[in-house]
Amino acid sequence: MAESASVQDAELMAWRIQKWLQKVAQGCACEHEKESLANWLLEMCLYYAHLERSSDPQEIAVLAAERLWESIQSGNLTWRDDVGLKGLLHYIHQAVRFEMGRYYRQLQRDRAICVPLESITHLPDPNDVEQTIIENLNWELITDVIREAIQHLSPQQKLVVLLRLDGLEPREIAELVQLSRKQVNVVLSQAYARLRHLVFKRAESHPALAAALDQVFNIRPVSKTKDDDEGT
Amino acid sequence: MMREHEAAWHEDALDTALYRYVHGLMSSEERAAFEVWMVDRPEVVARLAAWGRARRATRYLRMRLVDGVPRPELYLSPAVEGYGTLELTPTPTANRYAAGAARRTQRPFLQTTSADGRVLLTLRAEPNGDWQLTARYATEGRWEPHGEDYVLVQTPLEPLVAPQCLLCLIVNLDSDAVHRRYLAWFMPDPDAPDCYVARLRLPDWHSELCFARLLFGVVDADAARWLSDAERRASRDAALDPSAQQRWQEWEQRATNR
Repeated sequence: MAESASVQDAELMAWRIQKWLQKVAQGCACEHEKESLANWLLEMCLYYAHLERSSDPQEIAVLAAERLWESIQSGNLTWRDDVGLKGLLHYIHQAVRFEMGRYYRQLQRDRAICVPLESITHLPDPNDVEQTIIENLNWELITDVIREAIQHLSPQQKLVVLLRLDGLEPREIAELVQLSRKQVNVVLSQAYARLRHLVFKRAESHPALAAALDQVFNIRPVSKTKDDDEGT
Repeated sequence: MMREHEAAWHEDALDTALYRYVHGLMSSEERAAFEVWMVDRPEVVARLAAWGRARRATRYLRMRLVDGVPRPELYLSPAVEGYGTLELTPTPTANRYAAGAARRTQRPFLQTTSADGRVLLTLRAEPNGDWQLTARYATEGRWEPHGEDYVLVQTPLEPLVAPQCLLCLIVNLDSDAVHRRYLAWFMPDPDAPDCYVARLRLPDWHSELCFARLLFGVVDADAARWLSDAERRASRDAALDPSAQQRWQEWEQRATNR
């Protein structure tokens, strides 16, 4: 029952976008329909701009959405029953890629004419002690062990932790995975406790990992600290 | 069950499947199966994260038709973190005297909190008719009313990252149009640890508007890109802290070098 309802919802959504596209192309859409379509285009363009790891995703998305709007009005972008929503999404993805290429080419041309002051002032300082220390820390070993430990989490914990590692805030994760903000906090704290336990357990038999944890986070697995206390 | 669905999640139709997942168009059964299938595929989780980042922007950026052409516009809604509203209509209060006579005066300040309790906003009237706006953002607590005042209640299990900017819109209640837009930078609050403060001096709007409402919300620094030149200039001029003015200079330098 729920299954067929969701299929109906998906069809309804595709049908609504089809209706907006056709009405805008025919010039008979009302202001609300036009703005809804423009906002839908912006949302999709933002998604693809982020997916392409653009350094300026909002700028790219707005430029692409404006250009797609022109294509709709000129009749170049229309709804096609043979490819449906999937084909439309593919078209939007291509449009975002095209806009990115154009934007960065333009940027390079501008930079060739006028060298920004920033590029001179932001040159790396060879005598930056802080940077040298950070570079020498053994991050790689820790991240490898954490990545391995993540495989032992439940699917839900894994998904929430991976999204968090990708830079999303708990409230954003809550919205995406349809959990409450509090539930996300609980899932995260339980997952972190499990990861901590797994990493510390591994460190007990892995002196290099124990040393790296001490060096990077200034933390020692419990048993090691106990030994130290006994020694002193 | 997962195998049944998998045909609909292959590379070709992955974006459509993610679109359905993100917009709540999957049944709970398919949703659960999709999550199990997705977590072992880092490229799919990366796509989901891209959706999360896209939604971050759509909370304050939308397309608005200007002469039939869609143009980007900053807006605020309850979906924005730290969203709140404040009525700016003059609210007279009565001072009562022993003899029973009363004199009506304007309240010297207005105060409210955001819906999520993270932002405490104070609007203080200055003698020259301007208003001083102060927004305090608590990363490890919530502002809660306590009598006529507000107190910060610590919530250490939910620490948030430092906020970047406060977007303020002054809306004309007669026409429902945005009259002014200001963006303020949050700085560490020297008076309160774990708090960030944004301060602005706003010119008096009563000469131009009778009934107005102030909308505010926390947005990221990318929002500055979508202010008009005049709005950006007004925001920079309104910034009270020298470090906030410095932020504007840095932002403008970056924008011109881009």
